[in-house]
Amino acid sequence: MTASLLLHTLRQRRLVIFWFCIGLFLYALLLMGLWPAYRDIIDFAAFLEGMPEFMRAALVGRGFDNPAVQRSGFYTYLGTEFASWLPFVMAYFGVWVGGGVIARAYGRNTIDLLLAHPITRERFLLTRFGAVTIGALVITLGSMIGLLIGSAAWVHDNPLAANDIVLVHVQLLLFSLATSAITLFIAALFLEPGRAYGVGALIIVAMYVVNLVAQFVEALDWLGYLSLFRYWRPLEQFATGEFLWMEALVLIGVTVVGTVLAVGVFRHRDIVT
Amino acid sequence: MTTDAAPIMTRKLSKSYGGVRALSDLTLKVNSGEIFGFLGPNGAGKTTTTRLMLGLMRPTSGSAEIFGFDVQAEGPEARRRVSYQPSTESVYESMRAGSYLKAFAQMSGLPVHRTDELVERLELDTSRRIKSLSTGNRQKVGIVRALQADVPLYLLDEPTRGLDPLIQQEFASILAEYRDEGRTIFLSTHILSEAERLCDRVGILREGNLVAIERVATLTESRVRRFRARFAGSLPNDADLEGATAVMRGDDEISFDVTGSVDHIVKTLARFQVTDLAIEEPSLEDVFLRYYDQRGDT
Repeated sequence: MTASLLLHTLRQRRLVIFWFCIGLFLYALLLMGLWPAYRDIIDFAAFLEGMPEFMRAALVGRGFDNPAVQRSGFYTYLGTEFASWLPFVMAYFGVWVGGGVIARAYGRNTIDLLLAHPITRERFLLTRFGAVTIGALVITLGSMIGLLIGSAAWVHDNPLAANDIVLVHVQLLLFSLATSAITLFIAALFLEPGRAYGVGALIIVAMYVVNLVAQFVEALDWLGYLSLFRYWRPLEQFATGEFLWMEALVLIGVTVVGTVLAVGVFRHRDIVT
Repeated sequence: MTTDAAPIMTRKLSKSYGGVRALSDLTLKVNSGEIFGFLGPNGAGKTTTTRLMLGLMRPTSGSAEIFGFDVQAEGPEARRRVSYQPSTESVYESMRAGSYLKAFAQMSGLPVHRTDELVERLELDTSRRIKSLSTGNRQKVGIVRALQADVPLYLLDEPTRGLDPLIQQEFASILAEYRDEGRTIFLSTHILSEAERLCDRVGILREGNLVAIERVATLTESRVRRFRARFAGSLPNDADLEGATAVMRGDDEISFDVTGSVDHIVKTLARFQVTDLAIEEPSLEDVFLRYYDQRGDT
């Protein structure tokens, strides 16, 4: 039964997953394909250097603090064109699909049919979240494969290590799951799709702003740790080749805590559709 | 759980939303092999009761058991024996009816039987996408989905909504077969005639309170019908309308209420040239009021 529920959830979301996956794959490919042309036109490192600090932080975040990134036009190119908006795509997926684990079924009034089956709410929620995890993994793989193929084919001046590409996408997957878990918790609280998606999206935007502000106001630096965006640091991964374990652990922690809280709330909710 | 545990047993089951009491101290036992009608107007608490029985809601107080399994503490075990049809089947619009039935059969984890037979008898076109189905056909999808589960108990919430009379008749005979196989059906409805046609016993719910449990035959005996008849000429004043109450006479028409058997009245009317005759089913509210008037409970 659990496998059927998992497959059913994936089947219901197959188009979203497919198009996100294809979209990110093609974009990663395109990005790498365009690099040789961009390299000859724009000095990305100088371009970023000349930007107002606030705008630069908005584009590449803390990644530009790293000297290796500052020196490399390719890394800054990656930062502005790839790493800066990719978390938004994955957060969008996380809010929509993660929150949808409960909210979508609630909005469609199918949740009572699903919960009328001999399944515990914990298992129901975890199975559906399993489908979200698989979906996020597939999408991440799309981006990763696009980057691997693209960089091997067109980027010869600043080769990206396959290992780093994989580890960056591990970060990306964890980031996506953390946003999904937060929205899952919100959805368990509110049930109603409008509120679940709305509040989930608001929290993601708020975390982005908090992270941005924390970079400029030294006294508020601690606030940045409350934002998931602080733990998305692909440029450091590319520049140093070292996996950011602490960041990964925080994202895993948020995912686990969010999911446990969601289960705790959901098991006591009245389902009134 | 004991082997002879009742399919449904509730003890002082109550549910409040905020300060509003939707269900008060419902104590009810539904026996094996019966079709039990849960009768009450919209908002009486029927759906709340069904949801409490499925563990979709937590009771404010009291308990509900399905075959001896507490629906809160042993929810999956209880639900392993139940198939549920909500009043409005909320479906995946883009799926074909056949795929939908198959998907839910797999997801439910319950044994499946008679799917093809049910589809055929209810004349459901399973090749069509659900979004293209009429309200009645969607309801059929819900009925087949619920009844294809091979379980001892079915909770059906307003199952005949939108079905045409012929299909309703077929549905009634399917339910009777299920009952004859020893299965139990808990059917909530606000339509008195439906409860009369389908059920063995009914529980009458009013404003969250179970006000009576009766055999359908008993309820029918106390049932009131309102007659309105028009005649080619005038109806003699001495016409024998024994048993009629609330009699109102016009020049060529008459209206009155009859409780229980209508045989005598129909024979009386037949002696005159009747040009029009209407027999109205009383509202549930009327049934309740008269039922209690007779019992002297109000």
